[in-house]
Amino acid sequence: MSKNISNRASGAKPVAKKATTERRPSQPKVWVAEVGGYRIFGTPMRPEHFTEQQIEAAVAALE
Amino acid sequence: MSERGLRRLPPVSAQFERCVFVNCPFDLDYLPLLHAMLFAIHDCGFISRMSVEDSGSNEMRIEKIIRIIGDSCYSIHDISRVEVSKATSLPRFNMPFECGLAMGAIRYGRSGAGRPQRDFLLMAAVPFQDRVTLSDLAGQDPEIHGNDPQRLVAAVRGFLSAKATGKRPRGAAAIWKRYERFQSQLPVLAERLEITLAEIQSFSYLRDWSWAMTSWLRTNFA
Repeated sequence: MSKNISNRASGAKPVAKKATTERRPSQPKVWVAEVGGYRIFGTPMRPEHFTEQQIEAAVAALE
Repeated sequence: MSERGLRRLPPVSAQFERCVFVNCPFDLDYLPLLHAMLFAIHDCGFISRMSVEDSGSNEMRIEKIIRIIGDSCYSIHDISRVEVSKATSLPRFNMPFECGLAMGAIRYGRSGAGRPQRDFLLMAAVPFQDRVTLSDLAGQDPEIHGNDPQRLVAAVRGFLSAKATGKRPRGAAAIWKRYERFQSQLPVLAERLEITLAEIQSFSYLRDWSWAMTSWLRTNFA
């Protein structure tokens, strides 16, 4: 505040405060499936060691 | 994804009434309980949210926890591991701290018009543990799991079944039976991914395990 007053007193033009936008981290997406009357949601976690497709394929190949 | 009945949703933060923040120990001893809890949450039709869900972001850990708690209508707090570490002779306060944050969200936060009220489940390993470690919560009556994953699944199911909209979740015994079936198929799954069973069941592979678990639930609904 005191800085603003001194600026005005010295005749300096007030400096407009630069608008800042808070960056929200990108949000993970999930899937949802209706199976057998139940609703199942995917996880927001992304696989780390494999691709989603690799894991989907491995699960699909289970009995 | 072109699979029938499968659709992508907007960012997970938009699924407020389906999100369950999990506040529990992330240690090797607790992993079997954590796996069972995550399975139960998703089998009940909810979405598990954890502070470790996106390790790659440059967001500060506390900011991430606050964001996820804010995004989640429900939370589960397991205070069973609030104990003195053998290595440091000091207790870890993360779980009671995060429990407090979630209680603050319930007390001071607003769910929003038309949204369900926030709620939380408190769990402990043994009776009266909370009265010693978190006496401010006296009267909350935590669910006691006795370090037994099956009891933990029953507690999670009991909590979430009352929150479910539409078809209610299966019974606890049925969820446990499905979990056992998933567990029995893990060795084959690991083999197909050319890793060991120990690897897929480790913390390092938690994200891969979680993706496999939810994929399995989607394709094994009977």
